[in-house]
Amino acid sequence: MNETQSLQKVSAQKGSSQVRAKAPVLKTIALAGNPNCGKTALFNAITGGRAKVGNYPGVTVERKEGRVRTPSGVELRIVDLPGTYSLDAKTPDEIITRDVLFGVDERVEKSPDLLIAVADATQLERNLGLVLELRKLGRPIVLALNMMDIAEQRGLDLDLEVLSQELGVPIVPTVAPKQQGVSALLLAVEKKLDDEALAIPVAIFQSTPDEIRNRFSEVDRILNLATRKKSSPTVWTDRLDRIVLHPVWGSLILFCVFGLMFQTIFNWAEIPKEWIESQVQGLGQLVDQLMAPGPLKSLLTDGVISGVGSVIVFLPQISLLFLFILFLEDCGYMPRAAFLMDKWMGKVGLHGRAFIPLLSSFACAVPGIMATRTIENRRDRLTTILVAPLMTCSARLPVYSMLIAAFIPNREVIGPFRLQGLVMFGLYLAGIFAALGVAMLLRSTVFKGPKPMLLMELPTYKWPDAKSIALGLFERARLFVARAGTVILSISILLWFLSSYPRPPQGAVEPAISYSYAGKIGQGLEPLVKPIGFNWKIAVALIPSFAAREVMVGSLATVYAVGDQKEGATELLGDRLARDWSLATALSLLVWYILACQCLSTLAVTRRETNSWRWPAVMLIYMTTLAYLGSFVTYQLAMYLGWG
Amino acid sequence: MTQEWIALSIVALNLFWLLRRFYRGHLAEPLSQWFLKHGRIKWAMQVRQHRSVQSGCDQCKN
Repeated sequence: MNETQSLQKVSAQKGSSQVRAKAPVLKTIALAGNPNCGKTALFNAITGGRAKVGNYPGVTVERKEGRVRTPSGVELRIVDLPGTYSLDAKTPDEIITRDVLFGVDERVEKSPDLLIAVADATQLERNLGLVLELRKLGRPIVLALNMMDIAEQRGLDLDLEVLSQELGVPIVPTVAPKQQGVSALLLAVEKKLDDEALAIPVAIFQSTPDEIRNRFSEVDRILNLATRKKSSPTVWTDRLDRIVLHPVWGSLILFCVFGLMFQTIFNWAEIPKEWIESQVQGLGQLVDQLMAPGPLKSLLTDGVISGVGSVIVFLPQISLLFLFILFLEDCGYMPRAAFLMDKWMGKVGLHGRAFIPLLSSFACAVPGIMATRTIENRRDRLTTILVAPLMTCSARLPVYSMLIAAFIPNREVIGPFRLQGLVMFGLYLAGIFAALGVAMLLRSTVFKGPKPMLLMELPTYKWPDAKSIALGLFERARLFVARAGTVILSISILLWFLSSYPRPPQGAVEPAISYSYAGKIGQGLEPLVKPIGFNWKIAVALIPSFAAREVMVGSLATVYAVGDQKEGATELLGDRLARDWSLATALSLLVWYILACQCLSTLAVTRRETNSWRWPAVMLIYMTTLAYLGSFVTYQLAMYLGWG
Repeated sequence: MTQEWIALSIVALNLFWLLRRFYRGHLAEPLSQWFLKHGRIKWAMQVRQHRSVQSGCDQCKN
């Protein structure tokens, strides 16, 4: 064969589909570290926030995976593992992390080729213990020392070379929220990827108390060698905590912070709320002028505009609520607030780890219930799941705001505190005390057991990041508007139909709505709800609001708009209710809303997290019973006091 | 009459959307599990494809 023929043969082989270059094997990099060390922030910084989210099979633990290309073009698969304090795992989260790191079941998760151990530079005494355990796994490790900016602000001066030598791993300082150190980290990962991994048997990781003691002695020894200058947290954070966590002053500050929060929700939201109300009314009037009378016009004005418009007006209040929550969370105050409540939580037998799920439930019970995965004891976990929906979620806010604005006078009480804001605060407190009361009952009966040890980790104080707050706020507002434009719109349309058909017969004397499907259903339910002060219109509106709480406002608006005999009426819902209801009825409905389980999503996530239909059924039954009893007592008492 | 037909068509489409959303968000997952338990693998896989990706709550990112 001559040279030309050889070249032709080679080029034919290259062009042939039989000759394929081997695809490069994708390396798996796992991020492991203590909870709250900034692992997820670092994961987002590395992957650019583009993650595939799923679940580990058989459990409800979340799994996040992303891809990244290193500076020299190597593609890596990054897996964000659940946070763990030790490889001696106890909770479902920690067990998953341990199993993945050991490569227990390669079908579930391929064991990582390299570990990025993430440690909080401001809490090295607690974080390095896990790093020492990870070292024993025999896999290549790179240590990302996160939150270096906060550590340096506090005066910490570390000799990273000495630390790296003592630990035997390369160290890269990072500041994940600012994406600092990410390129250096990827370079270090690339260099380390060539190191071979050793297989370590699982049996090595059953830590005895002596082993734990020795590990932390080793951490102390290493830190003594590597620290040139210790950080001075007493500069302002500890001094602040001496006041904020004080049993008396701290409680007073807590009261003032939340009192002011609810006060501003009413005061600051007034102007934008009135503007939105005027736009909604204007839109209703425009449709009324442009369209001829008929069912379509009624659908648009009484169904769509009344229903959706009555919910949209609460956007300023929802936004303000989340602005405060995000601000207080971001600056580190929320866990301090929960710490002050811990005394009461411990007295009712609630686990220390329950504070994060219960805190999350102030926004929405669904992530709160999912966060109970960090509670290892099943009884403690179930208790927390069952009481989480009693914490006042943001969906209750439109109902509370509407009723308070319609029935509670806005008079001054003391200083900047006005009655409406205080009543709102009182409703939130009532939810908390209801949760604590039910938890105490559960822990002394069905879930009897030893009182759990309370252990809390307080994050450091920091100035809130304006950009992340703005992004969080925008996301919340977008979700609220999206919900109004989908679920609430849909239910308003359905309710319009049920309230408008069938048409009243010839010569009917009653209002048309009495002859409709909604009227018949409401009248059928009225004997059931009369003892608690509800009329049939409230009964009808309650049915769809079992799916989602804030639907109540839109449902009431639709039912009252259709029921109103005046053509083209665009009266505000609050004014209609103030005319039609007594104070006793309003108070009864408020109590109902504190206690009732009116969220299909909460029931669905409870079923998923408990892997059983029993517990969502228990939740629905006990909360409905509690709500009925609470409303009954409230209504009867209010009637006795002459508020009927 | 035209207004009524348009209004009722909107209501019908809306009802279909609502039922579909309820099925995808809350029924598809338990139904596919039930089919799996009773040995109907193909039906379980088909129903599983219909389920909604979200956890079911619009108020939160989760």
